[in-house]
Amino acid sequence: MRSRRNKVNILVLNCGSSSLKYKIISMPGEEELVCGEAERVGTKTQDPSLITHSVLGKKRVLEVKLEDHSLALNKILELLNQDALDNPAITFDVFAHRYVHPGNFFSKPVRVDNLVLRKLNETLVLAAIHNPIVYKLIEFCHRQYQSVEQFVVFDTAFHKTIPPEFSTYALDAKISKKYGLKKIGFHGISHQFVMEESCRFLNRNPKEQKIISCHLGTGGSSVCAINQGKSINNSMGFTPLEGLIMNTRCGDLDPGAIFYIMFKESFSPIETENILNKKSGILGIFNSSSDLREVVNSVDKDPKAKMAFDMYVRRAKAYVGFYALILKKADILIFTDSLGSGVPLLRQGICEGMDCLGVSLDQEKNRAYRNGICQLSSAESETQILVVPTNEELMIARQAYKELIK
Amino acid sequence: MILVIDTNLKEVKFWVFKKNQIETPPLFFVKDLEELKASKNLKQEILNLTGRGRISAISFRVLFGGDFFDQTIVIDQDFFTKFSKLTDLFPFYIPAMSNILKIFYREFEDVPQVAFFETAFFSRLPPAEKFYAIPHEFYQENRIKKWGFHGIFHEANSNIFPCAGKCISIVFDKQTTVCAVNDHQPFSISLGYTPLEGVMSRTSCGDLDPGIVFYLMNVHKFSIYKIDDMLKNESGFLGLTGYDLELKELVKFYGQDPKVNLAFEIYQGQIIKYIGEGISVLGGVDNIIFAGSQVDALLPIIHSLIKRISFLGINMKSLPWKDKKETFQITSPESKIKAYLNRMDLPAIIYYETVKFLHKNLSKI
Repeated sequence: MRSRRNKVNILVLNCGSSSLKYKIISMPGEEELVCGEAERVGTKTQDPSLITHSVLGKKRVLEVKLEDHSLALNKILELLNQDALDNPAITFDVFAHRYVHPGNFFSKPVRVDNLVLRKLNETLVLAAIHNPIVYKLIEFCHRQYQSVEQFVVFDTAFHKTIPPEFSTYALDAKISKKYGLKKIGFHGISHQFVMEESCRFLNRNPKEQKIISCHLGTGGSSVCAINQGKSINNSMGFTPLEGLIMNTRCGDLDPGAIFYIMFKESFSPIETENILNKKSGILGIFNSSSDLREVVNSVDKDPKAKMAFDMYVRRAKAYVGFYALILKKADILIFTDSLGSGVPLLRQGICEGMDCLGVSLDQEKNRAYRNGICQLSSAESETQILVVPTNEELMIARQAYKELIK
Repeated sequence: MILVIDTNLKEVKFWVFKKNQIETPPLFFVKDLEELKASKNLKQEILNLTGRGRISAISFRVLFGGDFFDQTIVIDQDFFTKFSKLTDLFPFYIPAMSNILKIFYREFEDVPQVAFFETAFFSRLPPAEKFYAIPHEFYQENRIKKWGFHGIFHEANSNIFPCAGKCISIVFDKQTTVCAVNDHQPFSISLGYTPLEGVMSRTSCGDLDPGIVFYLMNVHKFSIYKIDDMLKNESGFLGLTGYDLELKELVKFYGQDPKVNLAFEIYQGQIIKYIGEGISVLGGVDNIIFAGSQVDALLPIIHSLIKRISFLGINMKSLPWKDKKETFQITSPESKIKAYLNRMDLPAIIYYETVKFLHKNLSKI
C-alpha cells in the first residue's frame, strides 16, 4: 500500500497503429514532465518517421528511422535515460499502457503479472493491428524492468454502457453468445476525456448532456454517441475495423465483398484481412499516402485526393447524422485528435448541411482555430461545436494511479 | 393491355393491366418455369389467360443490370449480348434470367418488351457513395461497389410526390432498404454490393463489422462458405429470435416477446442509421416515404420509427391510418416534414412506369 501523498511518476505509453505517444506524468498532481510522440512508425508516407520529445516544455525533434514500435520504444527509453542524467527528477516508477481490445477478459484497469500477460496473449487476434504491438511492448517492459510496476488501461471500458439494441449484431444469438460477438467500441479513453473536458469548459454537468464525440486520428477514427455521461454507441464494432474510413482501414464494408475478393483472387483470410486493415482506407483510395493531411494538400489538383476526402467526410457525416437522431439533437459536438483538431476543411465538410440536426459551424472561427479547447459553433447553432485536444495519456495516468493506490 | 412479369426463377408471375386500370386489381396468374420452358405454344396459352385485347407491352423486373444498364430499356438483340456479360458478377441469376427473357422475346416478337432494373437508378449515385474504401484495383477489376437495390421503387417514390425535394424513401419488402433522393437523384442507399449490407432481413444480418468475418475464419476456423451461409440464411430476425416467421407474422409479437422486441429494436436502429445518413448527405429532408409489400403489416414499426425522429418537425397523424387511396399523407398539413405511405405494389409501379416509358419512347419503338 502506498500513501496517497507519495508522488508517483507514471510513464504512459499510448500506442497507435502508426504512432507511439508517451508522457511521464507525476501523479496525483498531474504534472507533465515529459511528453513526446513517435510518428509515422512503420508506415508508408511521403515524410520520414520522427520523434518529437519535450522535457519540461523544452522540445526537440529527431528524424529517425522507426520500422516498428519496439524500435521506437527503445529509442524513447534511450532518450529518457539521457534526460535522467541531466535532471534526476526525470524518472519513472510505473508503466501504464493503453490496450485496445481485451475481448471479454477485462473491463477495468489491471496490474500486469504473468497471468494477465497470458490472458492478454489470447486477445491478440481481436485487434490485428493494435493488440500485438502493445502486447510486445508490455512483454518487453515486464521482462526488462521487472521492478517497475506496470498497468494496462483499456480503450473499451467506456463503451460497456452501449445498450443491447446498438451492441447486438443481427446474427444467430447462439453464435454471438458462444464467440462473444458484439459491438465493443474503441477510443473510449479519449471519448471519455474529451467529454469531461468539454463539460468543464462549458461549465455543464456531463450527466445532463447529449454529446457526439469525433475522435479523428491519423491512425484510427471513431465517432461516439454519449448520453448522460455514458457511451450509447460507437462507430467501431467488435474490432476497430468497422465504422469510419481510416488511414489504412476500410471501415464499413459489405461482408459480401470480402467473400468475393477471397473467392475471386484466391486470397487467404489473413491476406484479405491484411488488405482491409493495412492497404485500404485513405491509402487504398489516394495511393500516395495514408495521411489525410496530405490528401487535403492535394485535394484541388488530384482527383484521387478529392475522392478520398469526399469519402472520408461522407462516412463521418453518416455517423454524426445517425447519432444526432438517436440523441434527438446533441448539446455538444466534439472534434478531437490530430485530424479532428488539425484539419479545418474536415470540420467544415462534416458540419455542412447539418442545420436541420442543430449543427451550425462558424466558418470564420473554424478557419481561425489554432490550438487549445475552443468553441466553433455559430450563434444560432443549437449544438455547441468544440475542438477539444485529447489527452489520452493523462486519462491513462489517472486510471493507473487509481488502481495503484487501491 | 400491359403484361408485367416477375420471376423467382422457379415460377413466372404475370399481372395483366388493362387500360386505365385504377380501381380493380390486375388479373394475376403464375406459371411454373419448367412448364413454361416446355410449352409448345406459349403465346397462345398466355393469350388464353389474359383474355381479349392487344398486348401493347411486356415489362420485366430484372434484379441486376450491372454497369451496362443505367435506365429502363427496350429489350433487343444488343441487350442479350450485354446482359450475358454480367454472368461473372451474378453467375446463377444472369443466365437463368436471360433464358426466360429469350423465350418471351422469341414468342412475342411483335410486342415491345421493357426491362426495369432494380439497380439502374443507383448508377447515378455520387462517386463518394458508390465506392468502398478498398484498394482501387478491386473496384476496377472486380467492380466491387454499391449496386443498391429496390431502385424501381425508390425512383418511383421520388417521382410520385410533386414537391419532390429532399426525400428519404424506405422500402419494406423481403429486404428493407433506405434511400436518400434529391431532385430525383439518388444520394445514398443502404444496400451495397450484395444484399448483406444495410438493414437486416428475415434471415440476413445487415451491417456487420467486417472484422467479425476474419475473427471467425482465423480464430475459430469457420470456412468462407459456412460464414456466407450463416450471414445470409441463419441471421437477421431468425437468428435473433429463433422464430422462422415472415416479418408480418413476427411483428404481431412486438411488444410481447423480449427476443422479438430486441430484434425489432435492432432493426429500427439500422433503419435510423440510414435515415440519419440520408439527412446528413441531403442537408435536410422534406419528405419521408414508406413503401413496399410489407408496409401495411409493419405500420406499428413505421409509427415507432417516425415517433423517434419526430423532434425534427414531424407532426404525425395518430393511428389507425385509414385511407382508401394508394398513396396518402400520414402527417398533418402543418407538419414541417411530410411523411407518406405508398401502398402500391411493385407490379402496379412497373405498370405506371411502363405507360410513362411508352409515352416518352413511342416514336423509338
